[in-house]
Amino acid sequence: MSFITSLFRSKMWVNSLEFLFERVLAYTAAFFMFVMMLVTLVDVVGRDLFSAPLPGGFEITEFLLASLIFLGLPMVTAEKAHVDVDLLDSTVPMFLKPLQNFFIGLVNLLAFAVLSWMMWKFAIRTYEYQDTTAVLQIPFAGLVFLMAVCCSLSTLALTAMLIFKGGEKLFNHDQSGAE
Amino acid sequence: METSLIGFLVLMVLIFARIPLGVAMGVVGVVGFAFVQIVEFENPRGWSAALNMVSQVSFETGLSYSLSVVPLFILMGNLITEAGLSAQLYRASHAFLGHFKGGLALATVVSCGAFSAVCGSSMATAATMSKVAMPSMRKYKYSDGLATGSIAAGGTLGILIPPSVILVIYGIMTETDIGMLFIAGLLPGLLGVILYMAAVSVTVHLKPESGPAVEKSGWKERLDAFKHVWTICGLFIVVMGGIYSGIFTPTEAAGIGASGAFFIALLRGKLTVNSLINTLVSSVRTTAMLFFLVIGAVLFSNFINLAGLPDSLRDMVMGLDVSPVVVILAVIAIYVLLGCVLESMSMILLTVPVFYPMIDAMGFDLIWFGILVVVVTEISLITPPVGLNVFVLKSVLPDVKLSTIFRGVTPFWIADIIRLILIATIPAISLFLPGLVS
Repeated sequence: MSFITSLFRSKMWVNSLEFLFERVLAYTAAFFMFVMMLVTLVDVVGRDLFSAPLPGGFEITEFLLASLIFLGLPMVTAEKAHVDVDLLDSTVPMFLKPLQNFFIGLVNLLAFAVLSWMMWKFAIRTYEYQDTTAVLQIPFAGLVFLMAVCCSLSTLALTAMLIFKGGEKLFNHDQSGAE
Repeated sequence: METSLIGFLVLMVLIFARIPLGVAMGVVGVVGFAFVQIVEFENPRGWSAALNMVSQVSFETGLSYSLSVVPLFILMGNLITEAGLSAQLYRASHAFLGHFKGGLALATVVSCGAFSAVCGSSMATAATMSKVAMPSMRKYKYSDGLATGSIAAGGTLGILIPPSVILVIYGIMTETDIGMLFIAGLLPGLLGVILYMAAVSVTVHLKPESGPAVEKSGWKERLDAFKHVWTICGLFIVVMGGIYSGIFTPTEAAGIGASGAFFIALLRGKLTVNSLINTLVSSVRTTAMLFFLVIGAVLFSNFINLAGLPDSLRDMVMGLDVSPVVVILAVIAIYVLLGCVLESMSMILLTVPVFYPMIDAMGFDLIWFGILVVVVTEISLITPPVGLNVFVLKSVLPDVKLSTIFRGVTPFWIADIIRLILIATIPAISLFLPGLVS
């Protein structure tokens, strides 16, 4: 029963989530970012030089934007890269720090759980109404399901952080660079 | 109004407990929205309305075409950094200004200003320029205070000189034309460069040993250094010229700018597959972080709008019969105070929806107010205790003491206050160029 026991090891969770977030999702999002840039370029050059704009370029951009934001969300969440104010950190006594981290992790977890739940509800509703975009008739449902999945993955990351890391960030490497 | 004030109070408590701002604003926004629906509007389905708002807002913010300008400008700045143009910019300004007293600090300010013309973020500008400007200022024995101060302050220009991520967000929140805001930011940005240069001159006048002159460069060397800079000038002219002449919308300009930056980096041979992926992923990271913040802020502002804070604030101030100047001074004071504790983007997202109906009703120009808000935000970037740009420098140069940087930044801070007064009292500085276009 090695699979079952491995479910209780932090390493298995951390490694697989890291691969999923930092490689699969992040690289897909990076690809979308690049395509978004090219779509605008082709649209503008086509329109101004050849009077042939990209049909529905507007809608493609919107879809790419929404996808790349939500694909990046699990990575940002697991790295604890969301903007926060650490001004009072030096005044928190050492013995309270783990408690504070746990509390922050719990609030984050609840907020993301509610977000995921609402996104799933919204996705099912969109699927039932069969909403599509105006020009290219792209159904919205697929995109909203993607958003819901990414929110749920962020929630999963927060759960893993709370269980295995006491609310600290899930991955230990420092990739954030100079932003 | 009481409800929104309690909401603000709870928000502050959560923020200082170090809950991420996006989460804190979202939670207070949703709970507050439900509370107002149930208690004040006696809507029994208040909770379900508030919760449905979460998915609705996330969906609409994610699919907002006008917001797509944000990631594209972030990408453009990151690609320009990757292309190594910051070093060329610094080399050129060094060749032209180095022989003056404090010349390398002058060169730092000028190249920060030029870099801001292709980068929309202050922290990115400060981080990039510190890597190229600091080694040479160290080599010529510039004092750490003057060197770090000029980089931290020069970096703040990133959000004023277009393109600017903060001006985009401001434009979307207040429904002001983003292109006009960009054009309005040009002269105040230039004024910033000039006043910062004055601050450098005053500093080296008082303490000549802090910034010695270096040997004069010959014209051959100057022209050689300058020829690498035309790419940045060209990119800026295409992006801003396109917006200015109405050929591009801001989103299109951002796409063109990012593509241009991509080809520049490619032609300069600075782009490998790996570095391209890293640049893209880092842009995705910044974008996701920013949009999560925006989603939280929209939830929060939906709550305070429902609770009627902006409207009652407007009516209250209009009823008080005070001079508009006093109101503007009060608003500026609030920004300076908030700037001491909040990060710049969060501050804009939190406050602008509250203030702008009042500012609009009093007959002020929203473009002018936008520039004013951005300049106050710039000041907050170098004001203790938060002063994010100072911390950027600290993280790049761990051996310099924080107090040294803050002390070095003081002359520039004074220059900023002078600029703020000028921009507040002479609206033409911001409104002259937009007036020419329309």
